Amino acid sequence: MARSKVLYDKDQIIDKAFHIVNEGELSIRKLSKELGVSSMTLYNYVENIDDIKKEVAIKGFNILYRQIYTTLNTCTELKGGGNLILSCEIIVQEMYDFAVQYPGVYLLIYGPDKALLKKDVEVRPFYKLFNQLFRRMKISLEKEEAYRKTFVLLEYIMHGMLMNTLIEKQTVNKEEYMEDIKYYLTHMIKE
Amino acid sequence: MEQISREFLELIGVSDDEINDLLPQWIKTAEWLGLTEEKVKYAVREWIPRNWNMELAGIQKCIAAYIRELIEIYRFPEYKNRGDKLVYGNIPAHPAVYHAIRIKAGSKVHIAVPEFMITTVMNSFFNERESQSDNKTILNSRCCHCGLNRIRMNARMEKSIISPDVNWGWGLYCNESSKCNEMLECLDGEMEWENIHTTFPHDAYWGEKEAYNEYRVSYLAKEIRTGQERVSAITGIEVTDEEVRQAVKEYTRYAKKVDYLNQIVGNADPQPISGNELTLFSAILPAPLNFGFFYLEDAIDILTAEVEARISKGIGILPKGAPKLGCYFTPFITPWINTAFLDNGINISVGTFLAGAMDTEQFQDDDVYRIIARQWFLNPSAVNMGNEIELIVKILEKYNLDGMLYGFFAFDRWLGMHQKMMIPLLEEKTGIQYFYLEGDFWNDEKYSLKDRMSRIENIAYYLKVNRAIRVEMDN
Repeated sequence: MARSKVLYDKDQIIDKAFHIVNEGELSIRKLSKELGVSSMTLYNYVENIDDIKKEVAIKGFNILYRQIYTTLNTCTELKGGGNLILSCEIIVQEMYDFAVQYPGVYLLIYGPDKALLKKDVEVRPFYKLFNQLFRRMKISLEKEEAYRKTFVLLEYIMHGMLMNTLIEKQTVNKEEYMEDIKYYLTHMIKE
Repeated sequence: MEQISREFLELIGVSDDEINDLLPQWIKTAEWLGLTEEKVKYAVREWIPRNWNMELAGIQKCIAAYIRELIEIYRFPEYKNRGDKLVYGNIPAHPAVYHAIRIKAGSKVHIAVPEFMITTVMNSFFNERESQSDNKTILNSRCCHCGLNRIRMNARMEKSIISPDVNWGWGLYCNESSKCNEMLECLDGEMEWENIHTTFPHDAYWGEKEAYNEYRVSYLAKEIRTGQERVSAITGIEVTDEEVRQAVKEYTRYAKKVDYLNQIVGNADPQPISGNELTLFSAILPAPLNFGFFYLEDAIDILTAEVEARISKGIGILPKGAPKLGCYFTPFITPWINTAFLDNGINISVGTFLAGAMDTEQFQDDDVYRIIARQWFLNPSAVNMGNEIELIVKILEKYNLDGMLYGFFAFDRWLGMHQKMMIPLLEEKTGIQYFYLEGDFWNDEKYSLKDRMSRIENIAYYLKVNRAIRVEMDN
């Protein structure tokens, strides 16, 4: 009897939810069906659908940030500093790869659910990589403001292009995407 | 049990001369707490070495100081039988007022916050939830707020912690403790002990510097003095201002040492010790103790010398350049959090919650209780949020942190919310990224390491990515 199945681990739920989100629409009914448990059983482990979405977003950020860090850390051209444009390019490129590999999860994180997710104090810092970078640097206020605008616009451009690709199904291939971003970065950041 | 207990006492640096005296007392204390031979063995062989830097004599001695306090609590029935007085307090409180009683009466009086010391030792050094924290009697986890309340209530119902002569509760920050005692009073009808509550209205304006508001300082000073006088009347131990002044002097000296240790550790790269070790010394600051700061001061002097030596040799717990994460309240009673961050290449660094050492020495006053009141109001957690933010910013200016970690307040109904409201304001003022981990540091049953790991990894990746890009920007 499927309904008598016991879940031993919240991870089971998150892994399954992650898979469902990536393929399409997440609902408690769909999730409990795929796990072979009743909705009531599921509620013993999670509070509501938003709780599950939050966990999926955290898992998504985990994959994304791990990949960004690994690539930054293994990029030999970055040892020693002085190459801000390249480091930004790596982030932008990893974001593209993540969006292509996990389109549903990308849409959950950066799509309409973003407003709610960003209100969660555990999740919100991970939306703020670029706009926090320029803070606490020994630079003039004018330069700080220039950096702030540069990174805000970078995020708009990057996510705009990725959303077009994923939602409107307008194919933006990686080369094209990277070329546009590089153009923007080289014009905005003068090293 | 004897052999492993001896190993335990050796591990925490108790000298050979003293072990023979302390060993039988420790074995009885362990039995009282339900610590079996297997549990002590696990602590000695795995838990303590995994989570605490036992190479450092200062850490050994600090842990020993906690154990000495716990043994004293176990011996309270013996002391009470011989006619000594017992005074209990709560945390956070200004410990000087309790220590003054001890200065006056010596070993004829004994001071403790039993539930705090039991929970701290059991969680930190044995990875054991104290049996009294189970829901045996009343107060389920939704109702108990702070886990200490449940232990106090259960212990009272089961009479496992002996009744004091008087409980002096500071309801200035945590008034649940006072409420809990009132509840016990209602349940018992007539209490075996007297309750004294020192409270103060939270009616300051946003941003008001409370330590410099003469009216508030005088009012609080009178409240504390009244509490002290009532304790004196109940115990028959007449505490004078001189004893209080001596206690304040000892507290201030220790607090300054904690502040200095924080500063040298927080600003060293590589960081010589972890946040766990730092908090071991600072979290005890607002706790009434039986031995005062006698053993702790010895431990911090030794550790400071060890840390200075490490800094001069460039020895760190992580390589130079590893990101530093400040902590609102390093939850050292769940030491796996610090260990998990270390495993992910992140230093947990200074804490701001109980930064009581700040400017403590600047106050001169004929009324020693006004000095205590001012010191209390310099604790960021004791004042209105606007003032709190200002005090935290002042602390953080001293350090170059990559981020700040908040959280583990899920046990409470207002603590977590308060911090969540404060975070955006602090981010704006400091430019430091703040992170939050839901959890309960009194009871990590619901929030395990496995469960928190994805969040801890996310913070670690974020900080390392941020650090890597910042290097590119700075150069």
